[in-house]
Amino acid sequence: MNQAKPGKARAPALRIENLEVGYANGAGAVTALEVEQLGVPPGGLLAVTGPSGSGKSTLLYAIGGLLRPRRGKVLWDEHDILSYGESARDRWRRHTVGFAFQDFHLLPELTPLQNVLLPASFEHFAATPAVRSRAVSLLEHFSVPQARRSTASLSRGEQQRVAIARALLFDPPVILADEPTASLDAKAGGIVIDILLQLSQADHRTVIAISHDQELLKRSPDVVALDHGRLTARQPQMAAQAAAS
Amino acid sequence: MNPFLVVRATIARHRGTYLLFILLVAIATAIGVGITTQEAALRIGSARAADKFDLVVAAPGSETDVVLAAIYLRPGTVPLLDPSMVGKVLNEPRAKISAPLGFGDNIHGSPIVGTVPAFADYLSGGLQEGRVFAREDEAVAGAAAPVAMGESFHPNHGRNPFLAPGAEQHAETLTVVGRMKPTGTPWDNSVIVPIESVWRVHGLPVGHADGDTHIGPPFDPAHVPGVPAIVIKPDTINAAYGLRNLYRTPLSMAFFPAEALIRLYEVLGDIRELMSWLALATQGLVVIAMLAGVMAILTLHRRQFAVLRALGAPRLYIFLCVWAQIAVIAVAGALLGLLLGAGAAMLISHMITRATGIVLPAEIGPDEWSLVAGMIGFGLIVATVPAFISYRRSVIQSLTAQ
Repeated sequence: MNQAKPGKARAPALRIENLEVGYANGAGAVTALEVEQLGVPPGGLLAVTGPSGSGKSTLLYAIGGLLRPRRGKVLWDEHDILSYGESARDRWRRHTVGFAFQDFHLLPELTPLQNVLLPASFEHFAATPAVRSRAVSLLEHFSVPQARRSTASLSRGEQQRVAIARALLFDPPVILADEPTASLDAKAGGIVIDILLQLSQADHRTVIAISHDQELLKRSPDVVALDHGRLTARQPQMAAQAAAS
Repeated sequence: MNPFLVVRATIARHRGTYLLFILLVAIATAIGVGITTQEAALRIGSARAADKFDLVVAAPGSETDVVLAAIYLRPGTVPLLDPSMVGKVLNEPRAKISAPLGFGDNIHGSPIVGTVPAFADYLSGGLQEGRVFAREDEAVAGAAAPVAMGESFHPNHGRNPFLAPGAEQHAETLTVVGRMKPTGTPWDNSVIVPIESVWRVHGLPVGHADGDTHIGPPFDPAHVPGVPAIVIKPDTINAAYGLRNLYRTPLSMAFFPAEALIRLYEVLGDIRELMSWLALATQGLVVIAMLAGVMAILTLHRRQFAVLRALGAPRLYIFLCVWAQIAVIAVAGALLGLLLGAGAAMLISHMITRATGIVLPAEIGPDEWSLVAGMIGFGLIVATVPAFISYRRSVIQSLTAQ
């Protein structure tokens, strides 16, 4: 687990205040997301659930600084990332946030190792030996066989682990995952859930995951639900609802 | 920043399409390169072939016809220069060499040309082996002429290589006593004999009084027949212009073949200009077609680029990914086109050399490089358009687009 431990930065706390995201369509302005208050402690794991179109992904992208909301604040340790300029946010994201996606978004033409090293190419022409050996040990740590084989030949579970290794290359204190288990079978999904819990609890990273996966929601210490762009429930309530029904 | 991992992956994924783009660019470039190379080769090759022909005196008529017959040894008839003029020109004191040319026969299809010994030596700049003819029954072979040293033969009448050998053979025998160095001109394929021999074979006066058996100058003006052309190597440049004016008479024309060629090159240049514009238009169309194709591919990759942004890639990185893809096509296509164009030009040159004996040096020069550089430059500039579109594209719209 040594290789996946955060070294540089300690996990930040997330606080969202009066966030409102909208977009214009033919009929006028539509509000996609309205969140008054949401917080995640440093090293916490928050799962976000809700029906499709409820604004989950929008919330995640706002947290990751990928979109500009109509108003409100996304504070990471009191730093409002929405006030950063485009390139400052790129830099912040590169070193603070690791993203994982439902469909992995790997480049199948490259080897797993090249995929993990891809973020290094955003800054430098060639990865340093230190970054390279970190990529190799991340792959070993996640039991991805034969780092030099074709990525396309890996199983889906292995591909998602390559994507998580890629997210961890720069040792980011924040991990954002968009339906990380949705395209995996139960066994491969279980491994990914183990990894996410480990990243939060053992490595002390702040992890936010969007998911429908009951297993993930059950094991996540903190869950919120979204519907029509609004927070509808937090885990204690949900647990109570489940008990009542 | 190093966008080549992504560029490599994208090109690998669409390798068929990208290969097609590269081939399109290559063909468009090859057409341009081929045209300029071939035109230059024609110009240089034909000029080199005319190099030793400073001033030509012939009967009034078409300079082009005389150039084709006398310099490039093309079969064809030109009017004969009046014997009175021939006598004067052959004894011109301001000429270093005054060489009458006589045609009419062939051996194994190669033209037999009658002239003076000094001209045979001058043409090839010294012989490769043997010596220049010294008697009427001796001959010097061009470097590639189909006769061996020491071989004796009967000249075949006419210039038609399809006549059955011996069908119209002259009784006279000629023996090869020397071979010229390669000159890269149609003369490499010729057999050069004393002009007296050609005249005698055809029953004409032989240029000397009866009983005088020497060959070459001086000629006796009373005993010379008409000839198709006389090549003069003047003493000095002044003499060249003086002689040209002197022999512009009602009975004769005098001209510098180089000037006649320049007029031909002007026509050739106009044709090249036209074809170059066509090639340029083709190149432009190819680049635009390629651009349309790349943009279609990029639409497929919107999500991928958005993901790269989510992973922390700066916008410039996305710009470079797109730009470098097109740059790879432009550079690879243009360089491949240079090779294809040069190869095609060499092939054409080789075919023309085989047909005419004129060596055409198809070489890649500054013109071709600037054409290739232009193609690459155009591609790189045009590539900024889709690159900028991708640079500006909203991450979030691309990420959420299905």
